[in-house]
Amino acid sequence: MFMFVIRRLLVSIMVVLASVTLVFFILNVLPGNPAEMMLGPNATPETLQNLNESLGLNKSLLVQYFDYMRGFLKGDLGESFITKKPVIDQLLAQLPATLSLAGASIAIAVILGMVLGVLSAVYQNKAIDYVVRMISLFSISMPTFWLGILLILIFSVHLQWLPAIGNGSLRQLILPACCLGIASAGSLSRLVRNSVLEVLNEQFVVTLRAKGLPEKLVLCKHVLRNALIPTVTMIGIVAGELLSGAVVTETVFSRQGIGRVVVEAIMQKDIPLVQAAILIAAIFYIIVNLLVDISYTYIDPRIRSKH
Amino acid sequence: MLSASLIIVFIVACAIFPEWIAPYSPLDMNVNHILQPPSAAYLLGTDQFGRDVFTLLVYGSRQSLLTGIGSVLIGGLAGALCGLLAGYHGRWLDTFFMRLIDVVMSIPGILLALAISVALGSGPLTIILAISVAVIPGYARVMRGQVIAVKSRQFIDAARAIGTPNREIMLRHILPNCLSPMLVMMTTGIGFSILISSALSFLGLGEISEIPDWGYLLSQGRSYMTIAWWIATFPGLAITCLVVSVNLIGDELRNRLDPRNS
Repeated sequence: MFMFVIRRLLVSIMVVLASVTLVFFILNVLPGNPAEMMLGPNATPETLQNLNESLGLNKSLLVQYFDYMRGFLKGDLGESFITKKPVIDQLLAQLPATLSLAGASIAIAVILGMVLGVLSAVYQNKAIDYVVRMISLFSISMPTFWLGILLILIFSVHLQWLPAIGNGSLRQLILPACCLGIASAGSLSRLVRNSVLEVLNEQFVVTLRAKGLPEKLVLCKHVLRNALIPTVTMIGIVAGELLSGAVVTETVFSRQGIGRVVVEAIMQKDIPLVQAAILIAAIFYIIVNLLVDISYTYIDPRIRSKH
Repeated sequence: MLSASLIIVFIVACAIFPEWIAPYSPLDMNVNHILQPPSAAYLLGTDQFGRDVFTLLVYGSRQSLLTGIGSVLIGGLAGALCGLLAGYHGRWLDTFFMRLIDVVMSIPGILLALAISVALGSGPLTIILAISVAVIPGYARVMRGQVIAVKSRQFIDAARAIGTPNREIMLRHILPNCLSPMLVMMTTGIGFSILISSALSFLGLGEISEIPDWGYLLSQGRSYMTIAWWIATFPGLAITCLVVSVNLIGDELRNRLDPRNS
């Protein structure tokens, strides 16, 4: 188990380094000079030259890359082209807002997805099942930002129950978290339904019923536990996509957070800031998936014995 | 299922012959009729320039459909090719492709698409390319898994035993047996691509042309949300209807093609 985690961590570090490299080259190799974008079309060649020099953009790309990587390995992620402040401070300041949004929406997605999925499977082909399947289908087919706009229209503009924008209070977290959570709950509930149905058809369920175990226990103790493996995998995938969702959700609800910062940074070609944000996203994705892999061994003893 | 097909047929018709379906021209601006609520004259209301929202939706359908289908074709084919090569060849090629996929997957898809489209400059083709790159890893993974499963079956051994060249085994024996999961994935992928592209135009990356696409229209409507709910609501509804229909057809395909379900 310990060795497994160590090996995974080493591979993860390679993945992080490679994704930082990939983004560096995407942002740098393709056309569009950041200095030109910052100064606008009226810049004189001299000011352009000066800015390029101060940003280090006049050096060859490989030199820039090695400079960046040298700083990176020392823990220095560079300064923003625009604000001139260290990017890591800028992003860490935004991290709590994004993490609370991500955490709240994962919680909503998991609770909603599991409950709906199990209901749908237990009442297969009954009215509840159809309703749940319709809800899930719509929730995965809706643009997140549209759902956000509808939520604002209904709960903030018409009913005036909840604030539409801003961050800080818990009340301001409810709508964005629901917006992001509902979208993931749909795919989760579809998956839970399928895996519960699959387990319900297995022979050990027949045995459990035959020995007279109450249906509730069959479901909670045996079926759910077996259906949990694909579900946990899905939670990992959903968590990985949360940052993508946060980009859009934070914009709709005018919340502060990493998502909004990175959208602006990409538009302004603020390369160090984008790099650092991608790094945080990649680390987040890797940690979540590592947790998912470790949790398998707790849920399913059969997997534990393999390591 | 029937209604899903009807919706898709209608939207495709809108995309091909918008001028036959739309009551007005998308360029008609009527200062006397700005921000009108839905009525008999303007079925879905008018926007801030006095343009008919229904007409804009009809004309905007072409862009949404092209992005959805285009990016799935490019991304799906490229992903399938990577998966086929990695799965069939195995060894270092497999390791190389799979690590590359890990890397791309660790970057949130929308950020990757955003970075690529900013780097390439705006334009409809850019968005299609950007989304294609973001969806390649998913297709490659599924294809690789499928190829590895098919590769170990006996008829492949038989083909190899009679001296069939590698390329022919890949294209004539393995590929046809991997097509059905890819087909299902590509169908639902169209919906996914339409969602991402609308999110990209919502974030401000849509091409700026006279005929806005659905995502751009939605983001415009957001500014008028409190006084004119219809501008943001109907484009979103249009996207949702299209994606729901595509997903329904994808589910149906999955049920028909997946032997485990029959």
